[in-house]
Amino acid sequence: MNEERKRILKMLAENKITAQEAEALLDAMSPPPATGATDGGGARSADPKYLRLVVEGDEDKVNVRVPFQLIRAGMRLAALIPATAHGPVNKALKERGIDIDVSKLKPEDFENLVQHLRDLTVDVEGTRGEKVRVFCE
Amino acid sequence: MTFPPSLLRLRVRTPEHAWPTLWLPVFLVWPLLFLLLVPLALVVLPVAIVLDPRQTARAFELLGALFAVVCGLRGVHIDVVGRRAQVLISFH
Repeated sequence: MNEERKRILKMLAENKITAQEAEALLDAMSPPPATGATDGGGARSADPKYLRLVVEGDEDKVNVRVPFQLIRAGMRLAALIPATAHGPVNKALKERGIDIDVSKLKPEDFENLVQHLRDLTVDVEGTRGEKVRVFCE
Repeated sequence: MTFPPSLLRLRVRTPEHAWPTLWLPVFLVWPLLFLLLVPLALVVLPVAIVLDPRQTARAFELLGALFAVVCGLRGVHIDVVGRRAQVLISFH
């Protein structure tokens, strides 16, 4: 217990201030709850947990939720790919239109990407009314 | 600490058939798999250490990564509704 708090409680015990005044003083001393939430757990809870893909068409609907933990685990698994396999994997990915060098993928980079994905929303609307949304939650 | 998924929800519906939603108790598989892996490890591990200790360490890393992938499945939700069928796969 800090000195100011002790002094307020002492003044209350000595009937120098009322209970309401003591409460007001203690409230004024304590930091606002919103500040505490953003400094501590709030920031952590704001980290996205899932990558969401929602597609809405005329009759077709797709709703996919992938935990970031699974993507991280996949990255960890990809890091164990032997160096000799990087070439064929890169080639196979390129054939499917994904131009990524697997050997350069690092879990640290992915962590940075996840941090920046927090506020990202991809919202695409087609000419026939179909909607595609990619976002994190 | 995360754990592997304990339930798998599976639903397949077509215009002809409307099968009921299945809640598969995946948690029953993990103890069985563990019981299978322990005796297997007791046989394979000494042989692997003698033959190539470096690759054995890598195999452990691989097992850890695979376990992380299995644990990461918890929360996966795939729901596809089409003209011909509706498929739902969800890990809990």
